Amino acid sequence: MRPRRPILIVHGDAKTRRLVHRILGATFAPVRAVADLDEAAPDLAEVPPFLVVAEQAQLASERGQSLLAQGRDGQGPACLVLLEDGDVDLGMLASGSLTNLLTNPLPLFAEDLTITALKLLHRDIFGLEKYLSWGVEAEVHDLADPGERPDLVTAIGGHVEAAGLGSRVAHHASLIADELLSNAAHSTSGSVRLRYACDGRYLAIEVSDPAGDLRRETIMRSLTKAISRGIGKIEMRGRGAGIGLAAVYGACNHLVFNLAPGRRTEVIGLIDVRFRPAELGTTTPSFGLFWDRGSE
Amino acid sequence: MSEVAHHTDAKLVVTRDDRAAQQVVTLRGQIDDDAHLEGVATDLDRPVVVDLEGITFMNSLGVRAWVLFLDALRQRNIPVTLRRCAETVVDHMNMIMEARGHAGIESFYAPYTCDACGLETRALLEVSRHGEALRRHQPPQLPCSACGGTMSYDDIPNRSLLFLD
Repeated sequence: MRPRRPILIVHGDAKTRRLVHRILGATFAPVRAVADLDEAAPDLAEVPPFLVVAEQAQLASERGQSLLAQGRDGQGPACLVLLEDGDVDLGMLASGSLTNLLTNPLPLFAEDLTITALKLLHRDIFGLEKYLSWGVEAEVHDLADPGERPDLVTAIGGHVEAAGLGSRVAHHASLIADELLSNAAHSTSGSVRLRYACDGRYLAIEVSDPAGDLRRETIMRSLTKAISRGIGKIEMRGRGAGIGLAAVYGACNHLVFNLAPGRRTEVIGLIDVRFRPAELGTTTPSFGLFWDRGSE
Repeated sequence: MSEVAHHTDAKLVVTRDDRAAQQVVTLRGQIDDDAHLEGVATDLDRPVVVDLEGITFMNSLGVRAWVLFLDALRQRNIPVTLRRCAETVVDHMNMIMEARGHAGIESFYAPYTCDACGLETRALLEVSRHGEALRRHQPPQLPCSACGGTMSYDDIPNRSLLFLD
């Protein structure tokens, strides 16, 4: 019988390593926790993990870069960085090798870490419900005509503000919906669906379309634009300005891409409504890239 | 003396006041896909103040239109001062350096929360008054209009005040 693929934790701090081990062990997937990638080498060769959870410095090493390169080809494990402080390595981000970044402080990232691992473990990636508590029902709107977008965007902003979530959250929700709907409407002739829901922790805004042509390079370029300083980010000609996804990332606490190439694209923007930005203190939003690999 | 109103579209109202030494352009509404500000720039011929308090929404195509507007003025060496920048404009200026361009900032709205009663609001910060503290990324505390307590800046200065650098 083929052994079950494990989760590999690579972290130099023993206390964090044990905490993350306890969180991920609760998924009942096999978990191996090591201090560095050299220690992990024999395990990586024997039974490759489906998920590597690491501190950023570990993946910046030569062995880490090699591991990330496998992920870039879509063959290796998902690579998740826990960013406890400091900034994300823009080179690592721009190269398109990370699949997940969690930046919430301990212990808040525990929920997101568990959800990420379970999505990968069960190969079931779609749906905003995975990020919300049981019983929450989503508002659903199908956008048959791109001309309906402004009214829909105004409606979601009004709905969120009326719910008491505040004008800043309402504004960010409107921006996320607007940019995601605009992107989706331009990439498909089919119907685009907007769903949103809130459970008192996250306001989740999801846009999906049946085209499935959002590329990893586009995503990574957008995320890099959002958190880097510099000029020349805007495309001054053409259909789009090239900063829509970057603006969405900047408006979220956590941005999730669920991709089935050629079949479906789903993007979920999550805004933390429990904690205000100053309370969270994180300067970089989390993100997650998930691929539906069918029945491989 | 003249005061001219341009209605670029139903969502954005542009008003120009030529009565002072500086021309004052006031934008109200949404800067989005339908915003075309080049014509507004063409009509300006001396230092201009742009009042952005009434901007309620700005998307990525709106940012492009705004950058084109600023760039048209920069190319003609017309100084620009931004007054009462709405938070949505500040968000974009923090991410896109060209969204501030060559403009100076006179004042902007920032999120504040009362430590005592929890009121969440926005406060107008004057750069001439708080500039030194803002440049150190230490925004001031302000009195709460609801309870008289102390309101604190409610964002991460290292991220949200980059546009002032």
